[in-house]
Amino acid sequence: MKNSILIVDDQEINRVLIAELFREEYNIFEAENGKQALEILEKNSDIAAVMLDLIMPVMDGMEVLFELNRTGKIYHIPVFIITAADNTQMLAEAYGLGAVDIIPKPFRMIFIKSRIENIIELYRHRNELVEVVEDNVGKINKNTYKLVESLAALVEFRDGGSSEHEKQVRHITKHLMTILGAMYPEYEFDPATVDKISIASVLHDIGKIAVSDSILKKPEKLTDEEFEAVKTHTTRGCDILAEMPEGVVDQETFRYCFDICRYHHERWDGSGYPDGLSGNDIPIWAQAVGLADVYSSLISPRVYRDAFDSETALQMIRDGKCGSFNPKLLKAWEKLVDEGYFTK
Amino acid sequence: MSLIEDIAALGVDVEDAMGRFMDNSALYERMLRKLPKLIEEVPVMEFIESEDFDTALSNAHAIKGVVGNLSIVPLHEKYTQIMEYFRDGDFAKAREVLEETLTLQQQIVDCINKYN
Repeated sequence: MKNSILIVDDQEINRVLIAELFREEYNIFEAENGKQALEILEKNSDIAAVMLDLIMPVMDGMEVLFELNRTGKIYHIPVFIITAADNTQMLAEAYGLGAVDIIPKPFRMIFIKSRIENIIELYRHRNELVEVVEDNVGKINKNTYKLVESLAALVEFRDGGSSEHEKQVRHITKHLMTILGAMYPEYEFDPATVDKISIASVLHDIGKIAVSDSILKKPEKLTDEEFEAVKTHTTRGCDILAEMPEGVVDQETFRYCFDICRYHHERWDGSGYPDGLSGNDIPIWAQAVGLADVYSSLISPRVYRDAFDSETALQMIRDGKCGSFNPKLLKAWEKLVDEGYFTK
Repeated sequence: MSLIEDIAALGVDVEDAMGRFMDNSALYERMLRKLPKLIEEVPVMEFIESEDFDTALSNAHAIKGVVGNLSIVPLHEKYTQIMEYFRDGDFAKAREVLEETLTLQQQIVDCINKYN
């Protein structure tokens, strides 16, 4: 439980007055300016409320509010403005930046104690509720994703492979997207988004359900007509996804599923299918899955060939034998290779 | 005589102060004793004279907040007026009110210092 209060005021008398109110129930942190306040907030995660003066030297209260907004801390810690300032515009701006209440100086100790304690209690309940909801959403998502994985395993089984391929694609996609984002800020996504992309990746071949067994399991070279039928798995996959009942996955994950399904065979130089997209017109998540899929397919046995070993598969990708890929994606890929990802 | 009785004679609303301090007279006295140091640390006239009006305003603001919390009503009223003149850009008037205020302010500081 959070049990500290941070009092930010350049005047010791004002700080002591507020501290006196809470000394028995809370640890008290005091800061003489905004800079000190942010340092204390950075180091201490148990702060239940901030009492913030606005006009201070070094860094004023408005700057502190801006920073708490930028870092998102304002949503978890109630900030009370305690000020002698009566500048309406500034006070309105403080509310706009997330201050929960404005307590004018001079104040009466008994009143501010009640106001502050009530809000701390509300935030405490709210934070607990958020935790419960997040926990439940996590459980629901986990079950949904198990379902999605089972579906993908069925597709792979029918294709003559094992569910290992889907798991491998998911795993590689996650690491590739993470490393790509670390190397190139334009491709950076937060970890939760990378998780969604990697989960969506397992459905990349779902459209194969709509392709005839006689083609999927044909040990000989496919005719042009048969190959055209295989290619339709990208668009047919999207048709299947469109029929998926609403709410099975969230909208964002659905979008990644859709893009990955349709575009994972597109190639950087425009030579892929089904739309012949090129460059960054191909969503980066579909590019990443495309590369992961190529590698995983090469090292898996198929009805028409044995599996390649990892080193051969990597060299085939380097040599462009599996189509062209985004040079930045290939650099991230090589970093995965250098880090020993494919030899673990 | 105690500090609280002495200071009441200078127009400080001790009853109001006790209300603010939840009848904790020891805490109130402790805070009063800190006032002279604060006033010394945040001079206003000095910065008006050097035409550094931003610092003068900021210091007046600091004193206003503290004397308000200590229920030193006459000073709180004067500093409220000074702040208004500052905000209107009427620095001459702000200085005039400050000059009127400094005598009383010094009396209050001297009174508290007798007990420091």
